[in-house]
Amino acid sequence: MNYIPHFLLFLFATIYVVLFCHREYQTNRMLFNSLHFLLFFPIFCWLYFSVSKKHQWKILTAGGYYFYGNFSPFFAIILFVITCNDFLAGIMMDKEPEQAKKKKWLFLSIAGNLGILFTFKYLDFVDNNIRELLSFVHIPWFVPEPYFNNWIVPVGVSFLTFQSLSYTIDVYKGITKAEKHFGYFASFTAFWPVMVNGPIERAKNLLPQIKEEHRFDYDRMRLGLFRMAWGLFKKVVIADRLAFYVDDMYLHYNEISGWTTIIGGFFFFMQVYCDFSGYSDIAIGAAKVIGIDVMENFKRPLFAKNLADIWTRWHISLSTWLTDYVFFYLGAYKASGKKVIFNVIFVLAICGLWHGANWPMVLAFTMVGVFMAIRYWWQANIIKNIKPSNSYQLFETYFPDWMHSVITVSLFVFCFLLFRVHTAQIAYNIQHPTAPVEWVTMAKTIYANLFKIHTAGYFHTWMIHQGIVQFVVVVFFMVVLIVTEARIGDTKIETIIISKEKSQRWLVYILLLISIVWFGIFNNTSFVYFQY
Amino acid sequence: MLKKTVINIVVIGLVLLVTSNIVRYFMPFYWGDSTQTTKYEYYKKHAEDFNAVYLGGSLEYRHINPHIIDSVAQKNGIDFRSFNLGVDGHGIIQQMNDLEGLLKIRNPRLKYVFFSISSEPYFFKANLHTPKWVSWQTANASYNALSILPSLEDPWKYRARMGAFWISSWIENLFNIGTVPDMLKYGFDKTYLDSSYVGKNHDGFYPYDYEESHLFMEYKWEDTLLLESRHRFEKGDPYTDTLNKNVLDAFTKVDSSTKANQAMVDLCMKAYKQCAKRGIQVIFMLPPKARTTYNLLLPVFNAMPEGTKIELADIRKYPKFYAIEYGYNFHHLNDKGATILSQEFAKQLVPLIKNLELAD
Repeated sequence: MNYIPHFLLFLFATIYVVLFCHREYQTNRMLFNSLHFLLFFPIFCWLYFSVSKKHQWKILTAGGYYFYGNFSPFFAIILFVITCNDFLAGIMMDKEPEQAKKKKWLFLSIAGNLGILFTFKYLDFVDNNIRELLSFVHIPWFVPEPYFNNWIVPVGVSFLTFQSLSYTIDVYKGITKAEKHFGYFASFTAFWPVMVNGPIERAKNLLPQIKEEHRFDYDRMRLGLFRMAWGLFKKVVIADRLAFYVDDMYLHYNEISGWTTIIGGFFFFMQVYCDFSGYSDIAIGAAKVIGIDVMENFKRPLFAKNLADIWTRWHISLSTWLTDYVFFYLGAYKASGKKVIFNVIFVLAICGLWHGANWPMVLAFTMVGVFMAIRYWWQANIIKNIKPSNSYQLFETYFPDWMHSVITVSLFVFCFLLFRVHTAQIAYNIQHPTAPVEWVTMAKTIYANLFKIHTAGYFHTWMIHQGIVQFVVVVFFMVVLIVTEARIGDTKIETIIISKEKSQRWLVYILLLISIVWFGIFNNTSFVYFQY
Repeated sequence: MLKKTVINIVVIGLVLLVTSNIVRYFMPFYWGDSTQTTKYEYYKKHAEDFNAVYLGGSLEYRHINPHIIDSVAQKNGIDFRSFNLGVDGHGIIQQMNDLEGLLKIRNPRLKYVFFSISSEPYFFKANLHTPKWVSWQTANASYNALSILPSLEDPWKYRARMGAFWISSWIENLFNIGTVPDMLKYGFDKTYLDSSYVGKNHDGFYPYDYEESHLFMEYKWEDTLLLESRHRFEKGDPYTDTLNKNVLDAFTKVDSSTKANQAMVDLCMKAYKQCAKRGIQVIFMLPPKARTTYNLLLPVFNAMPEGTKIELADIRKYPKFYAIEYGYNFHHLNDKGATILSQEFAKQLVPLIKNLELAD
């Protein structure tokens, strides 16, 4: 029962946040690219390093609740509920000697987490689909429209729930021991660098580190700060500048030519990559500064050699989560050929649903799954054996690596065109209230336009709207990023830079900083993955 | 180690500061806003064609038609050829910047500068962090704003917040934060400049009615806001009555004995003296439909030297300026309204200039 005082402490902390930090919900609060974070981070570090080991978890948790409560105090309550639910489930599973009895506590945890996720993220989607289905057979649906539409989706709720859920599943499987200290567990769920946008950390990696003592370390700080700067560069210099072109393209979806769609599609891919991996870089860097190593979330996805490979490089924490807890549960590669193909498509569809409660998103990821399945099927028919290790054999003989990457990224971009359709449709309908468009029409038009490569289409207007200089600037920085990634390989960029001679190191620092400051966009643009 | 960290941060900051200032040294003061660039580049090329300019925000840019004013003045035997240098979003602080920049442009013929008293140092929050806003907020601008803010009567929290915004905008200006692509655009690709903003008569006047058929403003939200504001205004939103009542109250209540905001008076007089040194006469204008309360503006206007003022805001004297028929939205006139305002402006201008010439 030693966790009761901590439990009460957090209850009071939550009430405090609700009562005294009352603000309206804003998605641009405490973003990593905001002035607010620029002030929060050094103050947090100063507090964190100035207290003894005994109190560091308190600062960490308070920081997490402050960080998350800043978006809305209501979110802090959700975080608290998730924390209590999984802490309790973990404790109870630890007490139960039999696996069967543990299962009911695991079920409680899964129901709690997925219940929260479902209520805030998927209820409106399900409600809309039931309504549409019933309207086909002219049966009225008792829920008034739009009932759940205005419910606020807590920022990063998918990340929070999946991270917390991984803990209880691991406790159930015996991979992790149940945490008996409520404070440490609360620090784990409220670990602010990763809590709203990943990487989705595992308890077995994070919890032991949280319990350790962390003192200010100059070298760790250098590595961490450089990584943060690199992430900020990707976000504010590349992703936010690309957003102009991408938004413009989708808003004029019916005017665009094939070339605009191809370039715009690649720009969107790069926007999401730079935005999300930029956030991960900042999160990893910030955690490093305070002495905690967080898992990598991206490993140069532009250089993936096939679609299966891209999932070992893109949003690694989610793909490993889905692999560990869903794909392996379904039988993974041990199942029969057809079952593997089903598993691949199913897991990718789940991945799409995790990204967004809308059909275009599900379809985008299912398409990736289908392409992957086709490849497996093809391989199975040629080499009569489905094994991921054999997957490169055929192509590798004939094509150089870069060509594999071009084909892979092109296929990914092709599917990714759907990724944005849902939000683009909403934006379009707001701007054209008298002539709204259905997402199916928008998607069909975009894919139809993709093949109109004989016309300039919207490209010229694009250049007029954004200007040739903006185009050159954004392409230049994308090239810088791609060349850098090609040169560093799988080594972490901060490790390479820090090992350079002082003059070279400083040249990089200054150039990076000048690029961020001069070419960045600082209007509190929200991170793309915040909605997930 | 902490000392080393701090030293490193300071060194990087200094390098950034120096390089940022070197880059900005090559930019003219008007580079940040496409309308401002278009108008000032035109004026710079044809400066000697004009002997009078109007400074201000949209209340001047969209309302003062130099073509009408010039022709009335010329009919009355006055050598008067004016250019409208008003820019959307410019308030009293940006006008001071404009004035300093304007005086650096060679024009020996320049005789009159019209300076608008229509705003306090508050601003539209959506402008924050945009390249045009950042480009306007020099050290002088921030200093001027911060010297006025404490003397205003709004809640201290609001003023403190505005002060923080001014400081952050100045820092953004100091380090060229996020503005270099737009500087490059100015330097290498001027296709974005729209010459129609010079106006149909090449005098810098461009009412919102024209803008609507053009709708190619720099930021998309400006287009949306503009249309929305017109629709609300034309539907007879009760906000119009509230605004008109406030104007009436101010003109009824304020008299010559009402104490003016000294910091604003000082700033206006600084402009006056700066021009006087170069033999240029500043004439102050009080435009109608200002966002800022006339309780603040009118005493400042009254405190300006006699014989250098043109008042166009009194709802009792000029009810038409506040009527829906002549308005574009809550704070702007339409072309028709701009025409009657310019006629009234010219009516007041002719005797004023004749008196000034006599005094010379």
